[in-house]
Amino acid sequence: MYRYDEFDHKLVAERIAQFRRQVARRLSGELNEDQFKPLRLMNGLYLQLHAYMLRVNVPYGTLSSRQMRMFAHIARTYDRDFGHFTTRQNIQYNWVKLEDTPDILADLAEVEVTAIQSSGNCVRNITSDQYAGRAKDELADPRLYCELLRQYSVLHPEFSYLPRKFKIAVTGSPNDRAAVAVHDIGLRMHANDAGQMGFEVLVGGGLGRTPWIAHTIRDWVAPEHILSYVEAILRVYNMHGRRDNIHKARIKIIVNQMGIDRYRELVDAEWERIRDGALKVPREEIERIEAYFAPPEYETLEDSTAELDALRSADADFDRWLSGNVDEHKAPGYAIVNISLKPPGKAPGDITADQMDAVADLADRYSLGEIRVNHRQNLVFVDVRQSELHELWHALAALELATPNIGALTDMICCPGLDFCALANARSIPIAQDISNHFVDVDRLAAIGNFTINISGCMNACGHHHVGHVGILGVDKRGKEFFQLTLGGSSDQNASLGDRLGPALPQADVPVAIESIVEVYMDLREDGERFLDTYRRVGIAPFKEAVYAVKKAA
Amino acid sequence: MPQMIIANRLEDGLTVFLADGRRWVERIDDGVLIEADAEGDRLLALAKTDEDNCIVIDPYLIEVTSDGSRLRPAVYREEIRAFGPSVRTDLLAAAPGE
Repeated sequence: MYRYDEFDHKLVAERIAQFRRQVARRLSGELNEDQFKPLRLMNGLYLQLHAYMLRVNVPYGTLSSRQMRMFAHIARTYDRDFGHFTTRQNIQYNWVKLEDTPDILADLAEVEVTAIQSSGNCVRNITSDQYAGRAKDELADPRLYCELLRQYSVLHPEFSYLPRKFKIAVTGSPNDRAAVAVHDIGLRMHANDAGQMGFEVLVGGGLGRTPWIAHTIRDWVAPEHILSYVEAILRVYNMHGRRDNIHKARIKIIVNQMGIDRYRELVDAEWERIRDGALKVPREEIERIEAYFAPPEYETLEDSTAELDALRSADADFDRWLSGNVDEHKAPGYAIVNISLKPPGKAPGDITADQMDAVADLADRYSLGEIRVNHRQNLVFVDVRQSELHELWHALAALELATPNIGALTDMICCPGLDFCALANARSIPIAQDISNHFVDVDRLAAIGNFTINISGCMNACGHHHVGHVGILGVDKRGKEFFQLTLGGSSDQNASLGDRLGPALPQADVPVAIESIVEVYMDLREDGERFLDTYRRVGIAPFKEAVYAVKKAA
Repeated sequence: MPQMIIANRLEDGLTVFLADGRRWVERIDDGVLIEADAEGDRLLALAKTDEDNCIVIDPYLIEVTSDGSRLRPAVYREEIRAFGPSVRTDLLAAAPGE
C-alpha cells in the first residue's frame, strides 16, 4: 500500500489546522452558513436531514486493517456505532458533531486517511477495481496510476473550483469492475499494437439526471503522458463547462453538446502544448510509486481443489458461499474473498463498529492485513490462502458477513435515500429491505444468477440506478413515494443505460414486480444467459407485459 | 393546518423545533404549535434571528397533524426528520445524552 511521505503528512496536517480554525469561526459567528458551506464541503462535511454527515476517502478502495480499526474508533467515539460504505468506495458517518469534526480528521490523519475533496466541485476520490493487483484477468495494476492521479489532483489550485464535481475511475482489467464508462474520465489500461501498456481514455460519462455512457476520446495514451492528457481534459472542461446551471455543469453536458470530435480537438490542442512539459511523468517516479504496490511474497502453494471439493460436498452452505463470494486469484493456492454487506433486511453498505474491528482482525489473520472496498458497497479480502477459506467462512458467518449473494439479485447498490439524505425524494433502503426479505432463498438466488439491482432515492443517481440490470428510482408524486423501474442497464465493459419499464409503482408493488421480471427471465432464458443477456435478446416487451398485467390483475 | 418551525442545530446538526421561551428542542411534542399565519411569520422571523446568531441553520415552517397521542409532520420528509430514519428507529433513542 501507499504510505504518506513527509509532504503528504505536512499537507494534511496544515489542512486540518485550517479547518479547525474555520469551524471555530463558524461556531463563533464570524462565518455564516453560506460562507462556511463550501469550506466544510471541501473537507467532506455535509449537513443532511438529521445531522452532519462526514464522507471519508478510501483511495481506490484500498484499506489497511489499521485504517479499518480507526474507522471503527470514529464510529464508536464520534458517531452512532456504524458507518456506511458508498459507491465511491468511501465511508460515510451520519451523526457527527461540527465541533468534533477537526478531531475526527486528526484521528484519521494518524492512519493516513483524509476527507479532502470527498465533496465539492473538484476531483473526487479516484476509484478502481477492487481486485487490483490480484485479479487473474488483469492486464496491469491500476493502483499506481490511481495514486499518481490522487497526488496530482489533491488541492490542485487550478482544479479546486471546477464547474462541478469530477470523478475518475481506472481499470487494469478488460472485465470492468470499476464502472469506468459512467465516469467523467474513465481509464482502461491495455496494450497498444506494439505491446506497450497504456490507457484508453474515456470522457463524458455519468449518471444523474442526464445519464451518458462515456466516449472514447483517445485509444491509447502512454503512462508517461497520462497526467498531461488528464490535465488537458480538465482544462478544456474548466474553460468551457457551464457555471450558470448546476444541472448542466458536468463535463458530460459540454462533451455531448459540442460533440466528442470537437472536444477531442480542443483537448489535443491543449495537450500538444503541455505534453512534454512538467507533467511528463519520469520513469523513476512511476517506479517509486509502483514499489508501494509490489505484490506480497506469496508462499509457494498449489490450488487446494480436492480439499475444497470435499468440504463443499460436505457442507452446502459453504459450497454456496464459495461459488458466490470467492473469486480466482492470480497466485496459485490463494483466493479473493468478497464480504457481503447485504444480509437480508439490512441497509446495503452499512457496517457496525464491532464488525469493522472484527473485519480488521480477520484481515490480519487471513489476508495480509489488507481490505478493499468495492463500488457495489461490499468489502473484499484479496489475499486468502485457499486452505483457510473454510475457517474464514465460519468466522465471517458468525459476524453476519457471509451472505452468499455477491453478484446476485440481493447484492443491491442502494443510496441512503430519504432516510438520511437532504436531496432525496424517496426512501431507498426500505425498498432494498423489501427485496432482500422477499428473495431469501439462497438456492433460488443462485439459480437466478448474476442480476444487479441498483436503487436511487432521487434522480441524482447515487445508487447508479441507470446501470443496474434492474434500476429503481424513487420519485415523489404529490407527497407520496413511487418507484420507477428501468431494465437493461450495465456498468461493465459493455455498459448501457436502462430502459424505462412503465409507470412508477408504489413501494408495496416493487418486490412483486421484481418477482415478475425474474419469472419472465427464468422462462425465456437460454443456456448460460444472465438476465442482462436475455433482456438484450428479447427486449422490454415481455417484462413490461408481466409487470403491468400483475398490476391490472391486482 | 397547525404549523411548527423546524431547523438543524448548528453545533451538532440535529433536527430541532422551536419551543416556548425561544428554546430549540429535539422532540416535536415539545415544540410550539402555531395556529395563526401571523404568529407563524412572527416566530419564523425570530427563528431567522437565531440563524444569524449561529444557533440553528435553515429554519422553516412545516405543517403538522395530531393523531391524538402525538404531533406528526404532514409531509413524510419532515416526519423522517422528526422521528429519525424509518429504517433505524433506534438511532434517535441512541443519541448521546438521551
